[in-house]
Amino acid sequence: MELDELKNIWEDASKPLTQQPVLNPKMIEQMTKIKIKSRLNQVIYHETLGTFFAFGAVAYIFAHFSKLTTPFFQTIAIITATLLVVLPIISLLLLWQLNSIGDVNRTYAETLRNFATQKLRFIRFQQLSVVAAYILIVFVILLMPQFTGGKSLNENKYFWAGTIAVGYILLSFFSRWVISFYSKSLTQAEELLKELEV
Amino acid sequence: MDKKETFIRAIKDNERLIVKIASVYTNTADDKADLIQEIIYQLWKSFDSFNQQSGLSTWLYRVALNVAIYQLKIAKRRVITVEIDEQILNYANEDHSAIEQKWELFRQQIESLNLLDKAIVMLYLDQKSHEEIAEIVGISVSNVGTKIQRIKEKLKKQHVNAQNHGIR
Repeated sequence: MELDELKNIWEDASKPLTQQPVLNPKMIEQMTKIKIKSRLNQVIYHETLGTFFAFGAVAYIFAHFSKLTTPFFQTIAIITATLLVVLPIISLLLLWQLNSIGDVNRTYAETLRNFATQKLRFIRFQQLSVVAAYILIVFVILLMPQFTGGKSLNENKYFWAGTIAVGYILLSFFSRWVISFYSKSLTQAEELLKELEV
Repeated sequence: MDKKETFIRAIKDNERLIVKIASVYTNTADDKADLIQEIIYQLWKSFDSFNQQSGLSTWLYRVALNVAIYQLKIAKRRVITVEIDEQILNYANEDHSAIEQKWELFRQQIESLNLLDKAIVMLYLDQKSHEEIAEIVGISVSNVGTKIQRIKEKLKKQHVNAQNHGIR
């Protein structure tokens, strides 16, 4: 459809608006007082819950830290705890950013630039989280026998090799899904930013 | 006239532009009602910062478009004021689904455009001058002209491709 034809549809769709008012003063008055709640709040709620679980895991690691007798396992525990603290916090911060409307008086191009940048940041973080999940799964598998007094990696090689392999395969599928899920949005955001630079 | 009365009058005078933006940026009647409500809420919140120099319509367009972008950041919104929504959905005694179908057709046609181009097309179709579009969007006047030309070419190409594939 060409732009002139599009104009006909635009005028046709806009026509009812010229015939009868849509809003009355009472409604406008009400709308100035009521802030609708975003469903993103629910996402933030789930994310916060996830953060508490991650912090619980960190507390567990430090409570049993004395069971880790070698510098190797201690280092792994510290890295795991750091990831479990840092990742959920970044995720919450990004969600908070997405939820904040910012300055509505700035130009549309500025808002779009901000929107595309936030989107890119969020997508890249999701991809990074998948990589971190690979690391975490291996570290947790290494640490758990130390904490629970179970058999170590050396004592039951087949079990742990199997667990790591299955975990790796599952994560591999999950990461592919994450990357393909966000790839279109990523391209769109990048193209938009390029367009805004012109 | 107090501030609230001035604001209500300004909204009444420009309600069509708010409804049009909400119609372009949302897919369902509920989302549209929510967006209209959010735009008016944000306009009221920033009414004090309205700079007379930019013109009321320019300011309204700018805020409304910015809020519409914000709407895209979140998947869906929760409807909490049924009373208001029902009133909005009952606008014009015309068959509501027929109006929605017209907007749907419009959205389909501009689907291939990016968010910047969508806004430019909408303002162009609303008969805004290149200068006004430049001020609302925040790009140069010459850039507006270039972009409109490119959008025309893109839509034309899209039209030709659709015809070649037997789609109208």
